[in-house]
Amino acid sequence: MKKKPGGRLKPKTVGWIMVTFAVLCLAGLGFLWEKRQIHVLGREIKKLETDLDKLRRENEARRRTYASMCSPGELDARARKMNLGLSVPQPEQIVRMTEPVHGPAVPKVFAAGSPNETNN
Amino acid sequence: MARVKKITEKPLAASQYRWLACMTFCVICGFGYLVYTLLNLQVLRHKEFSEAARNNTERTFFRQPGRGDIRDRNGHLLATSKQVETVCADPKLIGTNYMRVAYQLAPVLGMSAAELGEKLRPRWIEDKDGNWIEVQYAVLKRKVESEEWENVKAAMAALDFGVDETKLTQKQRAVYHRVRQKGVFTTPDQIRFYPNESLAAHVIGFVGMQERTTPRGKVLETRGQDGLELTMDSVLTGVHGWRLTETDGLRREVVAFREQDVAPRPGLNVVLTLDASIQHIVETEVAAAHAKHSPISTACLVVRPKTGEILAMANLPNFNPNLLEEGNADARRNRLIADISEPGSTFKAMVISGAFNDGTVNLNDPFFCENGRFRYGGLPLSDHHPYGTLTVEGIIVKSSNIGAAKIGIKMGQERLYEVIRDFGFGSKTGIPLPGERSGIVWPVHKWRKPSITRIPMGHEVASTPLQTVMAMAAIANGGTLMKPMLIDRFVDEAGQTVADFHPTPVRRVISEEAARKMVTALKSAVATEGTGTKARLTYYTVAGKTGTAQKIINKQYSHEKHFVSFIGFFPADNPELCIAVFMDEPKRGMYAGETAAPVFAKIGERAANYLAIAPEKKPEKTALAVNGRTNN
Repeated sequence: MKKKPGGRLKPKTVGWIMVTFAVLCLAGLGFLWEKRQIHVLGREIKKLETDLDKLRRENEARRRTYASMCSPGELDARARKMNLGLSVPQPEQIVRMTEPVHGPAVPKVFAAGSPNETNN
Repeated sequence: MARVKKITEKPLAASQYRWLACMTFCVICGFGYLVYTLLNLQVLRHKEFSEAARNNTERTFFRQPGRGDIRDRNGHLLATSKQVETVCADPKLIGTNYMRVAYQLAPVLGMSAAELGEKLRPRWIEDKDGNWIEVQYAVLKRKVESEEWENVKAAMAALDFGVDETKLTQKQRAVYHRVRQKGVFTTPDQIRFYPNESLAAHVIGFVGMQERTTPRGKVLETRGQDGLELTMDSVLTGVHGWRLTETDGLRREVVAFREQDVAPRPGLNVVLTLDASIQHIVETEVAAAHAKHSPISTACLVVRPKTGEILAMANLPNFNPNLLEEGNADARRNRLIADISEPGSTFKAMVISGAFNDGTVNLNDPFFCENGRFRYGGLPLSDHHPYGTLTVEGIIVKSSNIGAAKIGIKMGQERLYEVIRDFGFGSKTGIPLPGERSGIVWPVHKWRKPSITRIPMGHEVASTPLQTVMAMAAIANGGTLMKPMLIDRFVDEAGQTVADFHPTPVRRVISEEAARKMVTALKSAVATEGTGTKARLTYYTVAGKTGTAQKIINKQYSHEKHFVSFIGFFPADNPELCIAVFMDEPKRGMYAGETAAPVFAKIGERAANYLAIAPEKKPEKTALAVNGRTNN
């Protein structure tokens, strides 16, 4: 019986099939790995966001505590309670250095005329 | 080829053909059904199912913007926001265990079990398409602090369902576990926090909650209700952000499916011209005076005359904006801008300055004060003491009503009216606070004949304390009326200035010469035998005027009830501060010189020390050791 020329797969073809199969398997694995990585990174991002939010809240709480401690009433009460003998300096106890005054500039233009003019 | 031949050689039996046809039909039907189902799912009911799928997993989370802070001129926090939680529950998940959860959480949340049970009870609602859906979201309590939420979580973890869970199947145990873990959850929220409590409460105001409908749903927002929180609301409120994402069955966000993530833009910080330290000085002194004289109310204002900057604004009774429910509405009123009354004798300073400006009178012009009894337009007018002839300066120093009336007559109705309006009476000052009133100044055609004798002494006109202070500050400022300035600048989160505000001169009311003459007279009112001698300061020359206005009770001037005030400024010839003290019906002490003037002195001394205003007068000891050196 005469053998058909294409009846048997050539090693080269088998090789290509195996390579293709391997590539497909690797692509599949890569896809799964990527999906897993996305999931893991998502969880890490969420955790970091939660941690950041927590730290931000702690920071805010400290800022509020600091503000409460710096309030004039609180400082006044604390200075009295601790009996440190602190008092406000008298004007003659203050040494003044000549410094440029940084006050808001007052424009020369008036914002309104006399209300009597507008009424008439 | 040989095989094909073999098949064709042996034709199928008829039964086989039938079987094959039947199978083919079944396969075609099966595939047809599949195609129909596919079409139904993907084409015909695509919108419905995709929406249902989206509703199951997709979630939009609103991201609240931080409300801007309110700070004083030195950066001290006056109002800020605090992150808190809104405790919510899933009634569908909790199911029939709702009363157990209610009893467990009631003591932790400080609510009654019945109220909580009602919120947790499973219920159904009809959506916009007429479908009945089981409620999965119920708000249990808003504004819960983090510590309280930790207690709620601990209470839920220890929840006892009254069954022996060891005998349950794994699936049944998982249900109870989910109720404990996911039955109660939180959404982020914020509250306003005022670190200085009642300090400058009338200026800062307070906030409340308001619901707003947005294209992405309803949002509960913190909005200003009074004070700067209200007028600066659009500046302080930022812009909402949102996050469009998906959640899993345990309400956890699947970050990979986060589609949109728009960060909120926080509100701007508002920096005031107020100085928290001066505000504290003012409030402590006002509180002491309030306790001493027991008036209905005491108020004080500290202004820089040259710029119109308000450094302190205090009212008593006051309130703590952190504990709004404890105060009453009356205590929340800013009397310095919302109450009007006859200004009394302080008004003489404005009227007589107008006369100086026109050259109608001069400091040393004599006026006969009718020995304390004067009749004009059929009505009598009297002074507290019978005075003969007084100079214009003497009229200010002694606060003679008859003298002021005669100057008013000399000015004439039209000019008197013009001067009053030019000083800002009868118009709002434009301070950025809600509830400001414009006062009452009747037009000349509505005046009665005696009005010209009453108005110069501060009767028949009504003004807010702020108007009177700004008018006095105009005299201190060489005759230029300034707009009261309360906002210094807007600053963003990074500390960059977004908007800067400058002092605004409103108009020139009187000439510098006229202002100088009035300052001379006002200095005498404090320095000599005037009514304001108790307002003197050790290191500074004070110019000021007392005002003791009789209150109108049952359409008559009361002899017992007075509205007293002292408005002064120092150093008189180069004023740094204008301080005004007002008391409504002081019970102990009737005159402003006894009640308001000493408060001015105490505030003035402390504020000048704090601001290190260069002393004007030389102290008795000229040499004083400072840091090992002498200050000569």
